[in-house]
Amino acid sequence: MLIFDVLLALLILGLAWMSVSSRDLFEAVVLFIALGLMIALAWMRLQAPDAALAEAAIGAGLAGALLLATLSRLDRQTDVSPRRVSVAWSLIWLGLAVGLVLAFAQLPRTGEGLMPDVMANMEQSGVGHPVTAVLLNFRAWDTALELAVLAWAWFAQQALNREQHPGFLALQGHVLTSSAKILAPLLVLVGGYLLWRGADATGGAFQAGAVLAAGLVLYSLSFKADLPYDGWQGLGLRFLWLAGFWLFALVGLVGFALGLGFMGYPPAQAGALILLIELFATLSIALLLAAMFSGVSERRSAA
Amino acid sequence: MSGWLAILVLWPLAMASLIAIWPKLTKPVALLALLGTGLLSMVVFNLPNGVWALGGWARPLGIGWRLDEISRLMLLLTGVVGMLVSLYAWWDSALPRSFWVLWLGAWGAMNALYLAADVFNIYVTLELLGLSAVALVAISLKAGALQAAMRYLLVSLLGSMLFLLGVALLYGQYGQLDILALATQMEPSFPMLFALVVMSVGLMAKTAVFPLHSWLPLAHGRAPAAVSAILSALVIKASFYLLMRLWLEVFAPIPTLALVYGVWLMGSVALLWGAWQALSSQQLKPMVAWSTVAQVGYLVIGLGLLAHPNTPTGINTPEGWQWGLLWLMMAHALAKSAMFLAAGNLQQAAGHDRISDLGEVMRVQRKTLFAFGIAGVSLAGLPVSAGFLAKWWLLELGIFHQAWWLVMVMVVASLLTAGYVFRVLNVALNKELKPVIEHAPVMIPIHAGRQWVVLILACLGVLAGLQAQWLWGG
Repeated sequence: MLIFDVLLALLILGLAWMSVSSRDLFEAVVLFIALGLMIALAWMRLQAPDAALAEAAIGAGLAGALLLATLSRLDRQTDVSPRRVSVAWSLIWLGLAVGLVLAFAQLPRTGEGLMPDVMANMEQSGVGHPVTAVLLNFRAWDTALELAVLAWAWFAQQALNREQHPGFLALQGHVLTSSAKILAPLLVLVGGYLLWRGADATGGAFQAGAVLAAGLVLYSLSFKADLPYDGWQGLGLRFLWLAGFWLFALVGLVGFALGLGFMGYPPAQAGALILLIELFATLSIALLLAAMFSGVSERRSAA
Repeated sequence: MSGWLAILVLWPLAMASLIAIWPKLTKPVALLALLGTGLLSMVVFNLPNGVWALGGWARPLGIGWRLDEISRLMLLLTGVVGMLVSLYAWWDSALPRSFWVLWLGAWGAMNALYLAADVFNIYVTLELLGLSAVALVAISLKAGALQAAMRYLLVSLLGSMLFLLGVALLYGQYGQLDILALATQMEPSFPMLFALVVMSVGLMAKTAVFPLHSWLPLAHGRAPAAVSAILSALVIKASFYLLMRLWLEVFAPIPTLALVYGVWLMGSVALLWGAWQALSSQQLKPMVAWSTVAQVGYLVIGLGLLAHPNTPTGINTPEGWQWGLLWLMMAHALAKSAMFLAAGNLQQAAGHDRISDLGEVMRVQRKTLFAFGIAGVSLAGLPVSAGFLAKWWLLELGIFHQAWWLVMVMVVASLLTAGYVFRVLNVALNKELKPVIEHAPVMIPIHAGRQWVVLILACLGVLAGLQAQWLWGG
């Protein structure tokens, strides 16, 4: 396995370099997607399947889709900026890399971090998977704020969309539409499964949301149709963008009112509350990511 | 824990969400948001100190929130300046609806950041803050605003990434993320020195410390006036506050003399270079933006003075050395927000911001002119202002460490500051000066409330100067 790990590490470095140095922007994006998949593999080797799943779904999949969507709206498809190798910058990056290697090499190897603490409190967490317990219970405030980050990232993007962009890439074809008809329900099923499974094993809202978002992206690509951003349906959609964060925060406030501290759950209901929060978080994540892909402008969603 | 803390973070986010969902409600909700958040910060300022674990999970498993003198003062400063700048923005009809969604998001993020006592949670709040701040620059329709925002985005992301690397090193070394626990266990070692350096570089890029400043004059110069005021007065203070926490608390045993001298050098060059650029700027807003680059120099010099191994007290002792640095931040936030908003008033009324042609407009907008003058006095550190006290403190500590060259640089920089402030006032007060471009001045009327806001901000800077006994532990 050592040989595999070394090859994987070299492959990651090589792909990263090729992606950055490629003149052809499409090629750079494809290399970036491949890089994301290799990093997902590296997370697997580090025995972090949750991170691997998230990296593959969001880092490689949706980030790749977003980059391709951006690319389709650019005038140029090649990078024409002049190439200069600055000695000072090279030295700075080299120093950072060497320093990091030296610093990480000197860290204690025995440290278990907070793992013993996490395992000791699993009983009260309401879920059976340590990663879910940390993300949705012990450090719930981090995750709630991450949902806010995602929503505000979309608000930021909306503020920048000054013109009405056509929301669809020029991807059409019989194979695409017929496979989308088969894949879309399957993706919903997989998303639901990942969400449900997250309580006791690898999976959860972020992964499930990314899979659902992929389904929505596929839908809008194949049928040239967008989600309804106008009228009452639009109001509902805007509400769902924020539902994940606000359900989280409101449960947190109820916990405070019950004397459990802000972001605290009653232990008996913790499991059910976490599932409910994850359900709405999944919807928020899926709709936000899909909206970022379509890039509907502020004026249109405000109408 | 008091519920006020959670409300202080959630209120601005809730109001921003309402605006995002029902855009038609923007005006009334924005008013509720700014009054509510401002008042909440005053309530929280009067709460007792404490440390709490969120979700009822004992630290370090759970995330800690903490209220101490420093975080309370930062929350109050953000609340008061934030409320006044928001009022100004409320009367500025040129701002798009997205301003409120993004600014209230940034406000909530700053409140969450000042409460957090957990390095990873701080990283998440920094993400929310950085994202909103970058988009706030980009809402400007001015030429070059998008490029400036893009540059700010790259710097901000790089800064966050370096901060996160440091968090990983901290967790690898001590197996926890809680600031108070880390501070008690910290011992000098190479990984910790390296963590301090990478986190500091990241935060200094976000604070625009020389030589990582080049994004700031572009971004702050081109954003709408209210946005420039928010960014210069508040957003860069959030990352500077974290520098203060890292150097004086989490990594307190680490800073060596070499690091302190390095920081002094960066601060000194920032002071001179920023002031020189401000002096030679032909336009008002870029001048005020360059002045921020210079004033950040004072902040990092103050940080170096406090982190110096010979400085007698740590961060949480009542003796009071650290108050000077907070006073410096406060003085700059009040003066700089007043100056940016004043520049906004003048620019909107005149339709341009060429300094040499602003005389007529300044003579009409007397309150704005007066406010600009007082804010400038505080910025230059002339007596009876908050800036005077803060700079007196800097000189006192510089003399204590016998860093004579540093004292000299600070005195010269103060003179330069007075120079660029008086250059603007001279255009207004010296009627002999003829505008470069002769034309009948076109005055676009602006809301009277906007002049009052500027005046209040500037006067607060002077009133704070009269509270000297607080600074010297009286």
